[in-house]
Amino acid sequence: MKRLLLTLALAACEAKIDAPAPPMPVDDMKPVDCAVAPLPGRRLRRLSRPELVRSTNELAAASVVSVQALASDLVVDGFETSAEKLSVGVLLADQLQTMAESVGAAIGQAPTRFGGCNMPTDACRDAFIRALGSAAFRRPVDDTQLAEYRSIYELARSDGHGPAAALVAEAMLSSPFFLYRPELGSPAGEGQWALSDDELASQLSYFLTGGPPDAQLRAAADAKMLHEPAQLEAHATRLLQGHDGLGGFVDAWLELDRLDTLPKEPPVFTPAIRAAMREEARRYFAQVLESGGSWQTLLTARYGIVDRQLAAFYGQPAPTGVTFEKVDWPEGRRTGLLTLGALLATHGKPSGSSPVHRGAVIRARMLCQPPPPPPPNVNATPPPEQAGRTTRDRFVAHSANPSCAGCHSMLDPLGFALEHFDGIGQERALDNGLAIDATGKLLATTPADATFDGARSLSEAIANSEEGRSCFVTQVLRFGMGMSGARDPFTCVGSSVANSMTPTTPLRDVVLALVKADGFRLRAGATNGVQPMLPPPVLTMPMPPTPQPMNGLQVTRTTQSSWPTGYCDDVTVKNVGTVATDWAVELAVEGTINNAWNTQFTASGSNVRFAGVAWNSRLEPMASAAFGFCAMK
Amino acid sequence: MKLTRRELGLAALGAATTARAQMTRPAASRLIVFFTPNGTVPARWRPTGTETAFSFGAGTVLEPLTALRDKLVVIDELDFFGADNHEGGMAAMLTGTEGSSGESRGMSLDQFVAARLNAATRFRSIELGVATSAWGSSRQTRMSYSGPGALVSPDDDPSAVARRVFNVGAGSGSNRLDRKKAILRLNRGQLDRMRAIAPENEHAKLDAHKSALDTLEARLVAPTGMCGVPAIPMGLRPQQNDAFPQVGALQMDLLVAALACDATKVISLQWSHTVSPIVPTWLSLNEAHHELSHMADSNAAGVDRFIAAERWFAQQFATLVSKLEATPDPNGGGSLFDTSLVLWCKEMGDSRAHVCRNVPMVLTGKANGALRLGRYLRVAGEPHQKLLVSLSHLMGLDNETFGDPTKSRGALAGVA
Repeated sequence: MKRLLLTLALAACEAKIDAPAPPMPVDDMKPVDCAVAPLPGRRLRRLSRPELVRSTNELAAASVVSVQALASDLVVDGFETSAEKLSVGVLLADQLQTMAESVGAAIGQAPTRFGGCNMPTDACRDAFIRALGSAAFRRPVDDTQLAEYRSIYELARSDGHGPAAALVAEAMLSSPFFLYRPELGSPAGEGQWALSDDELASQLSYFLTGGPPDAQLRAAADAKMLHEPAQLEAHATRLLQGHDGLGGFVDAWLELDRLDTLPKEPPVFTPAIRAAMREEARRYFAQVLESGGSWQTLLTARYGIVDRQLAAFYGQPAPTGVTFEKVDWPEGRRTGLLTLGALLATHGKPSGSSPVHRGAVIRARMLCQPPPPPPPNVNATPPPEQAGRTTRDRFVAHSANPSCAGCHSMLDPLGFALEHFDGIGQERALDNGLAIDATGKLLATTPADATFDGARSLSEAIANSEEGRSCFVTQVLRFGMGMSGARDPFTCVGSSVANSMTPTTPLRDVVLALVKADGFRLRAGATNGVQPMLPPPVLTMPMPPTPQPMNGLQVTRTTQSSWPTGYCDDVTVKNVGTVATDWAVELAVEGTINNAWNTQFTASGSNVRFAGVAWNSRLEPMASAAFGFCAMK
Repeated sequence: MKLTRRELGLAALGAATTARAQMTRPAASRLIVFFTPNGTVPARWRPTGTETAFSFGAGTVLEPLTALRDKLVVIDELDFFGADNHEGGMAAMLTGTEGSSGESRGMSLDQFVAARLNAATRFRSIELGVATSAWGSSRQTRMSYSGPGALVSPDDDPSAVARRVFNVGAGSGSNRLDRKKAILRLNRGQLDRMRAIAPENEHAKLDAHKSALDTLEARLVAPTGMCGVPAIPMGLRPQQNDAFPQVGALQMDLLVAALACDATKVISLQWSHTVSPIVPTWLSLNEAHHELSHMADSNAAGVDRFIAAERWFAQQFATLVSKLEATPDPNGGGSLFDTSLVLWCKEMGDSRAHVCRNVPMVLTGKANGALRLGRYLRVAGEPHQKLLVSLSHLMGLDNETFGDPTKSRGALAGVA
C-alpha cells in the first residue's frame, strides 16, 4: 500500500488542527514483510464497545446499554478496535459487571426466552444454561461450562428459576467467553492454524454486521460447514444484504459519533436533525454497499437516503413516505460521501464551516495521510473573522506563506472545495455575502495534482486516486478486523485486495475478497511439531462420561482438546454422598501436567491427586466443582 | 503492558523507600490532582510580587483565587524538557517523561503515589473526568498512566461514579456479595482456561483482565456506612457540552465525598483534555476551548474570551478548595484541606505557541503541615520532573527521580 508521509518543511504554521490523535508510540514501526509473514497471528479479540453493546442488547432483546456507559478504548490508527490493544482494565471490568447485572436481571424477568421453561428443575436449569450460553458464547456450551453455570444457578435456586437464571445470565455476560472472540484455530500444518467453524461464524458476523452470528450462521457452524469456501461466501453474500453497512463502520471511519454532542449555534440544528444525519450516513453507506456500488459510487452518487425532515433541511425533494427513502438530488452540489450532512457538520465549527478540519478528515480518513501536528513554538493563531472576507480569504494565508504551505496546501484546498456547505451541512450560494471560490488541486495522490472546483470534482478526484481506494480497504480492516500498526499482517491482506481494486469495483466484491483471503480463515502460530489435522478438528471432543464414585464423589472427565503431543482435560467432581466434604480425587494422567486451573495437584505414583482450591474445595451434598488441566505427552 | 498488582506490590516491597520520610517529617495523607486543558496565556496568568508578597492582578486568571492567596503555592516557569505540543505535554505532565522506566516506572504521579502507598482503602485510586472520552483514549485525552503506554481512563459519569464508589443502587440482600464473588471467581477460572490455549502474546491481556477482577473482588465489602453521597439528578447526560459545569460540580462533590468516606487516598479530576473541543456556552462563548486558546495577543478581544474561560476554571478550583476546607478527614487531623496535597496542573505553557516551557502549576492543601503555603515560586526553567519528585516527597515517599533519571534528579528547591 502506498503510504505518504507528510513532510514538515516548515518552520511556522498558522493553523491548528483538531486532528485525530497520533498513534501511541509503537515499539516496532517496521512494516511486516508479506513474503515472510503474510498471515495474522493467533489471537483473542475483546469485543469492541459497539460490538459489546450490540451483543448485549440482542441478548436482552432491548436497548439496555449504550457505548457511553463503557470506558473508551485506546485509539490506534484512528480506531478503537485494535485487536492487539483492546483489553479489560479495572474501570471497564467494573462497568461490565454493572452491565451484566442489569442485563441479567432483565433476562431473569422473562427467562423463558432461553430454554422455553420457567421452573427451578434440573432440566429447565440446563436448558437455560445451554440456550443462553450458546447465544452469549457464540458456540455450544461445553461440559465444563455447563458444570460451572450449574453451580452458579444452585446459589440462587431456592429463590426460583427467574432469580437463578438472572444470576447465570450475570455470570455469562461478564464471562471471558462472552467478552473475547477467539481466533485460535487448530493446527493445519506449516505454522498455520485453521479457524474453527464457530470462530469463523463470529468473525464473519461481527465483520459484516457488527453483531453476533444469526441463527442461519450458527446452524452452518454447528453443522461444521462454514469452513468450506462456498459456504462462507454464501453467508457473506447473504449478510451483506442485511442493511448493516459493516456494523457502524461509517460512524467510526468518519468520526460521526462525535456529532451528537457537538455544540452548534444555529437553533435549526436540532437533536432530531443530528440523529437524522447520522441515520442518513449509515443508510447511505449500506445502500451503496448492497446495491453493488463502487468506491466511485460512494463518493459521487447523486442521491441520499433521507426522511422528510432532512430532505427539507437540505432543500431537496421530499421522499414519498414518512420514513427514510432513497431520494435523487436533482439540483445543487450535493454529491456522495463528502457532502453527507453528518460529515460536514461534525467537521465544521460551532458557528461556521472549517476548511482545515474538513481537509484534515479527508486526508486522514479517506486518503490515510494523517497530517502531523503543527510544530511547537510557532504562531498558531487562526485568522480572525472579518466582514468583507470569505472563509477562504481568512485561511488562504496558510497556503501563501511558504513555511506553512507544506501542510496546509495538502489540507485547506480539500476543505475549500466544500465551502458551498456551511457548518451545519446546508448548501449556500454565498459566504459572508461573497462569491465562493471552491477550486483547488489534490496534491500527493496518484494520479497527481488533479484539479477540482467544488465537492463534485473533488469527489471524482478522490474516487480516481489509488490512495483513496487502498485507504478504504485499510480502514475497513482496521475497523472490522482489528488491524493496527504497520507490522500487522492484515496489511498484506489489504494490499493484495486493494491492488486488484479499481474505482468501479463493487465494494461488495472488495469485502468478499477480504472474506475469501487466506488471512480471514488462517492464523499463523508455532505448531511445535504438531501434525496437520484436516479438516479442522472439533475443539470439543466430548467423551462418554465415566462416573467413578470415589469416596462419595462422582468424577466426570472430558477431553477438551487434544493433539499428538498433548491434551487438555476438564473434570467435574460431584458430591453424591449425604454430607459436605472437602474433595480430592486421584486420576491417571498421561504425560506431564503443564497447566491446571481451579485445583491444586500433586503427583502420586503414576496418578495425580487433585484437590480443591480455596473457593471450590468444600462440596455440599449434590454440589459440583469443576477443574481442568493440560498435559504434554 | 500494565503492571500487575503483584508486580506493583513487589515494587513497593523492593524499594526501601516509604518509611524514611514518614518518620522524619510530616507528609500528606491524600493526593488530589486537578487538571484543566490547553495551556494558558502566561502574561495573563502570572502573579506579581515576590515569593511571599505577591498578588493576582485584576483580570488575571488567578484573580478568582485572591481570597485563597495565603493557602497556595503558585509555581511558574516549569519546563517539560524534551516534550512539547498538546500530546507531548499531556503525556509528560504527570509522568515526567513519557514511557520512561526508572524509579517511577512509567507511571503518572497519581498512579505512582497510589501504588507506593498501597493503602488498604477500597480503591487504590479514583479517576474522575468531565467530558474526557468523546475522542476515545489516547495520549491526547489521558493524563494517568499505570505503566509505559498503559493509559488509565477516568469515569466521566457522576451516576456511575456514585454507584461504583458508594454502592448507590447496588442490589442488597445478605448473599449478594457472596454471589458476586462466586461470579468473579468463575470468571477468573475461565480466564485461566482461556490462557492455557492462547498464544503467549495474548497472556498479558488476560493477566491484566484477571488482575482487574482481583481488584474488583477486593472492593466487594459491605457498603461504607454513613458517608454523604451527593444526589445525582435523573436524566443527566454527561457527554453533552452544556452539561459540563453541572457534571464538574457533581464530580467535585463526589471527589470530596469519596475522600470523606476514606474510599481512597489518591483521586484525580480531569476537566476535558488537551485540544479540548468543549464550547463554554455557559459563559456565552461560541468557540471551542482549543480555538479560544489560540488567540494571538494582537486579538485582544479574543484573548479576553480565553481568559474568561481560564478564570472559570480557577473558580472551580476555588470551589473545590472550600469544599475540602469544610469537610473533616475521616482519619482525623482536621479537614481534608489540612491533610491533603492538591495539585492543579497544566499540560503546556503558552498555548498559542504549543510549547511546554513556562508551564504554570498551583499547589494547595496543608499536607499535614508538610507544605509551606502562601508562596509564589519562579523556578526559572527547572524541569517539572523535580516538582514531581517534590510532590512524591510531600506524600511521604523518597524517590530521587521521576521520569527519565538521566534528565533530572532531585526535588525542586523550596517546595517542601
